This record gives sequence, structure tokens and C-alpha cells, in this order.
Amino acid sequence: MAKSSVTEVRTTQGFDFIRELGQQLRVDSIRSSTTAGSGHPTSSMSAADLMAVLITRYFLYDWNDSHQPNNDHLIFSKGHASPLLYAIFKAVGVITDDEMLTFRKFGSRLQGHPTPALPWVDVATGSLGQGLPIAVGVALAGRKLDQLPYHVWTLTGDSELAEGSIWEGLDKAGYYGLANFTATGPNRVRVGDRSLPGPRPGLRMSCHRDRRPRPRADRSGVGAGARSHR
Amino acid sequence: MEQAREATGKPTVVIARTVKGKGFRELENKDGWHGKALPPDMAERAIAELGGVRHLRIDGLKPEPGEPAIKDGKVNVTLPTYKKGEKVATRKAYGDALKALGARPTVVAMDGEVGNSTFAEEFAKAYPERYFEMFIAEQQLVAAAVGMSVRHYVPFASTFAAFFSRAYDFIRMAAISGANIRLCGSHAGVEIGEDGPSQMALEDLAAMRAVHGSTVLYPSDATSTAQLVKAMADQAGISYIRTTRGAYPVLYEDGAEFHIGGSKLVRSDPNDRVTLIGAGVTLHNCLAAADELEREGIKSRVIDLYSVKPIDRPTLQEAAALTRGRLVVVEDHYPEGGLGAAVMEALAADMDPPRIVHLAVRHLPGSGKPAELMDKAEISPRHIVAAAKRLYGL
Repeated sequence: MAKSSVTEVRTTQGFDFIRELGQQLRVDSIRSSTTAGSGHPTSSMSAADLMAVLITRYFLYDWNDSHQPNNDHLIFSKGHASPLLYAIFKAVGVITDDEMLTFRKFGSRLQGHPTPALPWVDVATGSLGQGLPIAVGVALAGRKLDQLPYHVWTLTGDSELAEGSIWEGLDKAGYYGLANFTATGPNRVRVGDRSLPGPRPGLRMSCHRDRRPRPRADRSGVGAGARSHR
Repeated sequence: MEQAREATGKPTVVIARTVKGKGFRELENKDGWHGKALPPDMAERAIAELGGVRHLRIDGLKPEPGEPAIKDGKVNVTLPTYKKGEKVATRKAYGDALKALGARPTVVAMDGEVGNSTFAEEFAKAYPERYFEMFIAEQQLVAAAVGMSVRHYVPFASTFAAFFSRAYDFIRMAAISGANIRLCGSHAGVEIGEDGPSQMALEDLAAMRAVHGSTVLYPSDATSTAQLVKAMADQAGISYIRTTRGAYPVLYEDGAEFHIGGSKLVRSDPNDRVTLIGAGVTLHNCLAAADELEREGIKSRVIDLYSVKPIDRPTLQEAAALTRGRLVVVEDHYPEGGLGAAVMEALAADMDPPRIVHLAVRHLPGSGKPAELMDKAEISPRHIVAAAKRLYGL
């Protein structure tokens, strides 16, 4: 695993660059977890392109000032994809490649699952089904209290969609009309040796009273982010 | 994602067709590779297939600066006052105090659709824009509080004490997150009476004490409840207050002081022979027992141990020394991990540890009147009297 000495700083947001960034996030997820001897590289690789698109194009965040009140929030509900999160932190320059390779080591702030020991992490995740409901709480504060335009993004895992708390969260996001909240997740369940059908793109979530949030389906293949949404 | 950013009126869910291990064909969608690091040789192959190591840097997009609409400010909070002897439920005092704390613009409240029972509705009526109904969804109730804590608000979340157990993993994780949240569990113990055991919190003190860095409070009257609710607003970490369903006499004059880590000597005399320790409803039972013991010529010391964690060890040690190690601890909770355990843990390392009779709910309760259920559980005044006499050698 030789290190390249090439460092490129880009603000370009073309999909060629984003695709390359996605590949970097995958490579770094493998490098950190292989160096640690444990971790969840495959769960990180599946979401690498989603996150590459998000952080280059749609995530508004001052990486030099995590206390900026109008920063977006990104909560990894699938906390085990920590290699991906830390690869993002390297890509935006808030940790070095060397620090990224301290993943899971004693004394490192890059713990097995993310915690607010890192200033860009709002809450500890790793107990599945929690990041999304907490993100709903943050979005509720953004919309009803702060009244700021920041957006709250959460990355969910596949199997955690089976947690009842996911329903509790999405139900309230709908009830309170939280347009500043976006959940991003996969559409099939595949953990260990089980493979179960996940929510279908046609899913409609009925809600309290007459408010009906509708999930927006993206059936594009991984890495084909240029395809239009439906 | 662009549409999600621009959405109005409703949240968005992006459902992506993902492939586990995407980018390395050897592993894509293969079973048996969840949570496993690639061995070094396989990692080499994967990195080669993915195009090698890169060090791309992105600056990302910065938001326009903005300031929250609500700012914290120095505000005088005027707590409600109660007349000594007047019967007031501590859950009502919670609602009154929360409403008073609402003068602080960053205080927010949420409830699991039992606000008319926890009395969070007092806050809701006064500050509807800062009250969030979370319906019968206790995990989301705690999650919302944690989310508000992320945004530096001062959240108070309430429901029946029993139902926080449903959100226990969220509470445990909130401690790992370093969140500052305040929880109020009402309707604790067999004291709730007729509703029966499904509604009785009998494990909550143990559960909440076990949370890292937590604060656990269990006041007995309205005056102390109001003051402790105020103290919770400035307390870091996870704090929990247990309130009681029924109305009991106010014990303390307006102006009496209560603080986290404190206790109150409700009765004391240099000739005390035995110490009775209670909190919440059992303190009232201890006081009734003390009256009876006095009639029988035995002076007893009564401690209101309203701060279960942290605990007032010096006061306990002093009482143990003065009453020659004769302590009765009474709680409306299962015997494990609650008030009795807290007292025993506090005193276990003493040179001359006390002998403690621990009265707690040891059998599965049913429905009935509060007094009947407390008597059946052997935490009623007559059982406290009997325990004290047994310790005294009578």
C-alpha cells in the first residue's frame, strides 16, 4: 500500500472528479481498515459515491469552523461505515493521511465507530437505528428553533431500516414537515449471509393527519450519479 | 440530492441501489464479508483495481453565515412556591418549574404524548413554539432531545418513567455523545396504584444510575422538585428526575435549598437511635414511621436522599456514626441498583460499615390502592417501624 506523493486540491465538481473521489474514499476505507486489522470496508465502499457527490456538491460546511451555526449536519446512522467517514475527513483536509491510518488504535480519536471526540461528529453512532432519529431532532431544531437554512443529512445502513426507531424518526420528520432533512440509504438489505428485500421505491409513508412525505427514489447504479432523479 | 436540498414542506428519502463492497469485484455482494478487514494481499489487489492510492483534496462548499433565531440570555427564573403542608404531586411541580424555566429562551420540552400526566403540558401551554409532541415514540423522544442538545438547546423530555426503558439504548448512546439532556420520568413505583405493573417504573433508578456521568434525582415534595428541575437546566450530561403520581404534603418552606449531590435531614436529634432513609414517596412513609417510633420512645433520624447520584456520602456517614450503624433504606423500586444499592455502595468501604435493612419491592405487584400496594411491598410505615425496631434490638 504505497502512498502517493501527489496532492491535488480541487474545487471542481465535475463527475469525473467525483468518480475519482469516490474511488479514493473506497481505497482509503480499505487502507485504514486493513491497517487496523478490523473494521467495515465493504459497508464503506457501497456508500462512497453517494458521499462523494454529497460532499462536493450539496453539503454546505465550513471545514475550518465546525461551530459555524449555519453548517449542514451529516450524521452517519450506519456508524460502522466509519472508514468512509474518516476518508471524507482526509479528503476535506481536516485529518492527515497518517492520522487516518491510526483508525481503531489505542489513543486515536478515530475510534471504531464515530464519536464527538472528533469536532465534525455531532453524535456517537454505531448502535443502529439511532443516527436517523437524532438527525430528525437536529432538523427539528433547525426548522422550528434556529430557523436557519442548514440541511441535515443522514446516511442509513440497509439492515438498520428494520429498527422500529427508523419509523419513529421518519414519521415525525413527516409530521413536522422537515424539508431540511434528508435520509440517504440503500434499497436492499444485505448483512452477513442474509439477503432480505428492503423498502421499495414505491413506498409511501402515511403520516399523522394529512401530511404525507414521499420518499424520492433513486434507482441509478452506484457511481452513475449523473442520471436524473425520479 | 439537489432536489432534497431544495425541497419544501416535506422531508426526503433518497433510496439508492447500492452494492456492498462496490468497486472490487472479488468482494462485490459476496456473503461473509460484513465487518471484515481485507487481508493485506487482498487489499493490494483491491486498491489496484480501484486505480491506486490517491490524495485528492476538496474544499467543499461553505454556507452563508447565519445566526440562530433564538439566543441564550441571562434571565431571572422565578420558581413556583408552595405552602408547607399543601398536597401537591411532584409531577405537577415538575410542570410548574418547567414552565418557569421557559423564561430562558433556550429551554425546550418534548413529551411522549402523556404531557397531561407528566405535566409537561404546563410548558406547552405557555411556550407552544418550544414544545414538541413526539407521540408514543420514546426512542424518538430521547433522540429529539439529543438533536436539540447538538444545537445547544436545553431539552427536557418527559414520559412515564417506565417507558424510558424503551429508549435506554438512546440514553446510553447520548452519554457517549456527551449530550446534555434532561429526562423526567413520572408515575414511578407501585405508588401509581390501579394501573398495575405495566405502568410502574421499578427499574429506572438502577438503569439511570448506570449511565455514564449521569445525575439521578428523586424529590419528595413540590418545593424540592422545583429547585432540582432548575438545577437540571445547568447540569451537564444525562440528568434524570423521578416524579410521583400522587399528591403528598409539601415538606419544605419556600427558600429551602436543594442541590445536586445534596440531601436533607428532615428530622434529627442528638439522641437518634436509628436512621430512616427514603426518597420520593417513601420519605413520607419514613416520616410516618418516625412519628410512630417516637410514640414508642425511639428517636429516629430521617434523611431525604433526593440526590440518588451523586450521593451525599458525608451525611450518610454522619448518620451511621450517630445512630450506631442502624440504617433503614426504603424505596419504591426493585431491590437491585436503586436507592438502597446507592447507600450501600457509598458506605461499603467505611471502617465500620453500618447494618442496613433494605426495604424494596421484592414481589411482582398488581393493581390496587397505592397504600395497599406499598403495604404489600413492605415499604409502608408499619414495615419501616418494624425494621427500625429489629435493628434496635426490640
